[in-house]
Amino acid sequence: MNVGETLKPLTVTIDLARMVAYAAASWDWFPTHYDVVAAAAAQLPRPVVDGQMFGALLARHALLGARDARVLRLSFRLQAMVFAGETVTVEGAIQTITGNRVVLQQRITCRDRVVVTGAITELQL
Amino acid sequence: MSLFTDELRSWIGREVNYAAPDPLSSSAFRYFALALDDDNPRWSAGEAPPTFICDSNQYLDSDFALRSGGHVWPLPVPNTRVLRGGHEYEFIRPPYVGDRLAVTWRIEDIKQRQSADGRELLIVVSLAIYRTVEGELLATNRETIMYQAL
Repeated sequence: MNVGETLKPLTVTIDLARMVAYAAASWDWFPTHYDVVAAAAAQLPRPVVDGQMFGALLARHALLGARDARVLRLSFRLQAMVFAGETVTVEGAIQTITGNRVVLQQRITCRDRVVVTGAITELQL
Repeated sequence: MSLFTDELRSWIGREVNYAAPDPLSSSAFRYFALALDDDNPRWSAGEAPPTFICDSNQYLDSDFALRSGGHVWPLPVPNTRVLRGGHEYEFIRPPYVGDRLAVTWRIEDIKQRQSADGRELLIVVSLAIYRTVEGELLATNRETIMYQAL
């Protein structure tokens, strides 16, 4: 593990079934996250992925190469929406290593859109 | 007309507290991991996935909370749409099966900006603090929600 090292990307297709499963798992039934009619009423092309799910995916990606590590901090900003059926890719690199603390810089893209930028995750190995 | 009214300004500093009616369960962790296609065995061995307590509204206990997407501030911002801006999480110690949550939400700041297309944007920053009911600090979640004028 070295500073600047690129992490293995994580690619996830977020279809409606996964969105409904996440809504149930998070107890979050905000209508535009699963309901086609509510999405249309909000002038959205399809149900929109819950933005908090991207935080969970950043954590999952951070732990791919360090499955026993603890996530100490995680921050991110949302830049674009993702809709049911789209595939996102989480990428990142090691920014700093201090003792047993590793800081990662990550982002999430969906085709040509940057969905999450400026994501920082700190791990304790 | 400005979205940021005096009435809205009075919301800064408001706080609400919730106590979960029951303890965290192993099946809830496992189901959350399944929803994310996350096969890390820790989530089936009694430890919560990192963002679980911040993402899951299981500490709430009303039909309104369930349908509205969790804790919401009933802010007077008509003719707007809600956009999630981002999160800053700090995880102090992992929650485990059997922990019962006590959660405090507080509005830290409200400010007005203009979106790229010239529409007014109200930015609400809240801090959620997650503890056990015994008072042990588990995590904090600084959440930015935006209300965009239609």
